[in-house]
Formats: sequence, structure tokens, C-alpha cells
Amino acid sequence: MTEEDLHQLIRGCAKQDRKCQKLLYKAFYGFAMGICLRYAGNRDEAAEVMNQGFFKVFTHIDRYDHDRPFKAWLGRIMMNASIDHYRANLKMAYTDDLEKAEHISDGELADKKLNYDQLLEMVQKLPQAYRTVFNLFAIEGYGHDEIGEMLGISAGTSKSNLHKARQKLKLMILKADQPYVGQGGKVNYSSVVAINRSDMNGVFFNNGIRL
Amino acid sequence: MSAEEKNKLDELFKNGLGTPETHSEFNDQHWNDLEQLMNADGRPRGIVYWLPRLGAVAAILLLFLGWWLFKPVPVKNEQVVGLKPSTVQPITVTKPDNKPTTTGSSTGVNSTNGSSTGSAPVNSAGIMPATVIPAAPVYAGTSGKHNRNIQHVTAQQPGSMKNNQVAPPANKVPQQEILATVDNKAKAPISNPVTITDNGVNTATNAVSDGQTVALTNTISPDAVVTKDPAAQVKKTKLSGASKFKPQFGLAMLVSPDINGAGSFQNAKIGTNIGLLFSVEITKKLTVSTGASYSKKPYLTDFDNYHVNYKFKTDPQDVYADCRVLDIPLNVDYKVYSKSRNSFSVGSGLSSYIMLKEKYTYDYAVPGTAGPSSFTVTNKNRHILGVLNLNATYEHQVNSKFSIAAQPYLKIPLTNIGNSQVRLQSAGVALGLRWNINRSVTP
Repeated sequence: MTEEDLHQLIRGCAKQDRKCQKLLYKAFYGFAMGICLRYAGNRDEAAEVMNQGFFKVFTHIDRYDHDRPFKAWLGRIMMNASIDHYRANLKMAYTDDLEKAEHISDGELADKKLNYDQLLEMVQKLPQAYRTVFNLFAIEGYGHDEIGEMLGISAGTSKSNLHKARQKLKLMILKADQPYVGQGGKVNYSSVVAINRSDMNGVFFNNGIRL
Repeated sequence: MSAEEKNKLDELFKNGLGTPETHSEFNDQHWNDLEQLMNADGRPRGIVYWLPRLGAVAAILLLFLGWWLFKPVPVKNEQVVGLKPSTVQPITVTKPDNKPTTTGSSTGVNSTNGSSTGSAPVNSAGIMPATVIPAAPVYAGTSGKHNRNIQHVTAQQPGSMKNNQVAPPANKVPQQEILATVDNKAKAPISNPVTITDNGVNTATNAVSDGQTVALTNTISPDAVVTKDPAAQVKKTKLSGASKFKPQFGLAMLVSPDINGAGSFQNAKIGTNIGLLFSVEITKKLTVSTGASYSKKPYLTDFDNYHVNYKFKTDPQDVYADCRVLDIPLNVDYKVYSKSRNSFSVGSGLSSYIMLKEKYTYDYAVPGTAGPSSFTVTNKNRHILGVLNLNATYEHQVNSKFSIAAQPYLKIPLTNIGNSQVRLQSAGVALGLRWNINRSVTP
């Protein structure tokens, strides 16, 4: 799609032309879905968030500055929709202790050959709070202060959540090599967010306490 | 975990997930879901665009309606019909001197006698032609409502009319009494011969037995001379003759939709007002009014027009404000036009705004941007006489006690309004019902 085609579509969307809206939706579906998938726990949730994002795009398209790249604008809206979703669902807090993850032997992370689906699956397996911070920090490139403001948490909590997200991801990557995890199979653990450290011994996972 | 590993981990995911376009196939079901979402929303987006325009059209319609109702009833014109300039000339010739106001008034009773007995002009004229002749200029000159004044004099002397004689009491009516019925405005037309076109004149000239003027009287229908409702005219004459003006008090309830905007009406929002106004008619033309009105004033403005000390990390693109205001106006209205039951006034004054509640909602360029979404201030700001009112009022009297009014108005801020210090202006049309507290006579 050329730049001119895109702007024509955007102008059509501004007039609430349903055909133009569908064409724009189709054109950016993959891009938008890709962003929302990273923040969401599964594909259905991602689609729901993406549609919320597109709804905002179509209702506020008159605010789009034509001098700036549309993709970036749309991407930010998808990210914000994901954050809104995160906020709306932030009803529960989880505890976990990942301190011991520090003692896991470090693997050669860079050498891992992991495809998009595997990586996405890992990220989606992260608890929402970790996942959101990890996405914003590692992929979007925001600082902890900014993330704190976006999510309504402190910069310290953001750092803590990022750290825990990384620990979990590292574990998942390392386990990805092990036969019992299986390719594309479900990692056998349920993740929980550590807000308060609980003195848990033994197993690292499956010991979340829901407050 | 070392910093390097952290970076590697981040890099691994960023590279793997950063460019996701090709990994998700379009799913029609998702589009259908979105369509449903959009259809369910279904807000009438155009309403905000159209309402100010509809308001303008409504205001124009009201003005037109006002003008249409204002159209003067052609009562006076009928009286002049059939009179030619040539018929006037003999009258002026018959004047005893060039001072119609004095000579006319001195014999005013005779002249009015003749006019009121228009149905039998010849009789009345034949009795005392000498006294009738000079009366003509007086009656002729006092056209319009002043005719009634003179007729009033005759009405008080019914005996003289019935007998077709100039009764001595009528002749003895003092000059001052008659003059009193003719105010200053009436004197002007008296000296103007062209205005001597009234029916009374013709009856008077009839009395001169001048051939030309006799012919003239034939052209006048008796109906035009005889007052349709002498009793009502007597009442009016009493009022005007007394020339005592009592202040009229009124209480009006006004309801108005209006449009509000900051700096301009470009992004105007519709507000509503409801209020009570107490008015005092201090002269026939001037009315002072005050009261209180509760207003809902919503408006949308660019963030550039919004001034607060708070520093936004990301500036909102625009701000939607919803203000609840107690508007206390002090206005003076000048009656430009008043006829029959309709009147038209223009007015101006100052309003004080007591800001009861102000709620500001912020819209960011990118929906979902982190930052405050709204801010509310309660009972903080007051702007004493900070708003200029301009209005025009059309009023239609329904009965002696009540009248209805339509009032297009404009409120221009003289100071910045509200917590956000915006130039909040309003325009609308107030519709109201006025109770004229101490008015007992129909106009």
C-alpha cells in the first residue's frame, strides 16, 4: 500500500466510511495483533484488546497528524489499549518468590533458536504485570519512570516486575531445551507475580499465593 | 543475571517479537466483532455539528416571527384614506390665524364636538360655524392618540352632542384643560398643514359651508370618524392625560438552550439555563432586571486555551469542560418598539458568574496516554460582573398579567472564566414567561 493509498483510506475512515475502515483494519491487522498478542495472555484476549484499539483509532482518527507515521500512531494506540486492559484487569495480585531463580545456571541465551510462536508463548505465559512491564521496557524501550506513570505503579515496582519477568523468561528458555517441555507444548507451571516476598521453600513454581 | 544477559534476553525477545506483521492472518470474525462494537456505540456524531447551526436557524426564525407579529395594524391609515392634499388646503385657509395651537385649543371643544358627531356633521356644523372653523387645526393636528384626547373631552359632554348644539359648558372648558390633553408631541403636527388630514377636520370644514370642503366631507365615511369603542378610548385618555407613570414590576422565568465556546464557537457545545428574573420598568422605555440563573455550560477547547499551573507530562490535545454556573445578571433594557401587545427591546448589562462546579476532562492525542483524565473544582471561582450581556427581547403580551418573551442573547467574557481561565462565551435564545405583577390594564 502506497503512502497515498493509506492517506486516502484514512480520509475515508474520517468520514466513517465502513469500507475504508475495513481496508485499514485488514492492512494493519497483523501489526496490531502482533502488539496486542505480546501484552495479552492469549489470542482471544489479544483480539479483544486489538478491537478496542481499532475502535479508538476509528473514533479518533481526526486527531491523527498526517505528517507523522500512521503506523507509529496506531502502534501506540494498540499499546495504550493493552495498558488500559491491564489496568482494567488488575484486580488480583500474586505473590511469588523468584529469588532462587538467581541460582539457576545461566545458559547461553543468545544461542537459542526460538521462533516467534515460542517467544510469544513465553511472554504470554508471564503474569500480566510482568508481561506488561517487560513489553514496555524490553520491546518498546520505555524507562521505568515512564512505565511507572503509565501503569500507575512506582518505578521501583516496575524494575522489580521487569526483573521477575526476565527470571521467568530465562527459566522458560532454559526449559525449552528440555524434552519434557515439548515443542510448542505448555510449560508446566503457573506463574504468579511477586509483590511481597513470601518465604517459600522447595519448588519455584506452583506455589503462588493469591491474596 | 548479569547486565549482558539481561540485554541478550531483551534483544532475543525484541528481535523475535518486534516485527510481528506476518505472524497473524486476518480473521474476519474479529472484524465482525469490531463492527458490532462500532454499531453498538452508534453515537449520533453529527448532532454536535448540527446543533449550533440549528440554533442559528431557530434564532433567525424567531426574529422573523417577531417581525411578522410586529407588523403594525393599519388602523390609522384608514382614517387618512380618501383625503387628498387639495382637501387640506381649505382647512388651513380657514384658520383664524397662524397659531393653531392657541386658537385651536381655545375652540377645541367645538371642533371635537363636530368630530364626535361625525354621523351628523351637517347639524353640528350648522349651529356655530364661527366657532367650529378655528377648531379644525387643533383636531387635525392632534392626530393619532391625541385625537382620542379630544374625543375624550366630547365624550364627557354627551349632552351637547345629542342636542346638536354647542352647549355652553362645553364652550367654557378652559383652554388649559384642553391643552393638557395635547402633549408636546402633539403640538408639532398641529403647525404642519400637511398633517391636517384627520376626519375631524373635515367635519369642521363642513361647518364653514365652503363648497369645496362640503364636497370633501362627502368623501369621508362616518365610520372613519366615529370611534369604535369610545369607552376604551376614554380610559386610555384618562391614563395618558394623567401622565403619571408607575413603576411596573415583573417576574420572569426563563429557560434557554445556548451554545458555549472558549474563544470562539468553533467547537461549541450545547448548554442549558434556567432562571428567574425580576424586572422593574423604571420608565416607559427603560427596564432594569436582575435575578439568578443556573446554567450548565459545557465547552470543548484546545489545550492551548487551557491555563493551569499543573504541568502535564504529555499535554492533552483538548479539554472538555462541564461547568455549573450561577449567573447573576444586572441588565438594562431599552424598549425600541411597542405596539399593541408586542414590544421589542434591546438590552445590555453585566453578569456575575459563581462557578459552582467545574469538571475538566482531558483528551490526549493518542488515546490511552498516561496522565490525568479529569479534574474537578467546586465552589472556587467567582467572577463578579465579569461577563457582558447583550440581548434583544421580543415580548408578546398574552393578557394583562402575563406575557411571553423570546430573547436571543450573547454573553461575552470581560475576564477569563473558571479555573482554566478561558474566554468562555455563550449565545442562545431564552424563552420565558413574564408575570407583570402590578399591571392591571391591557395596553
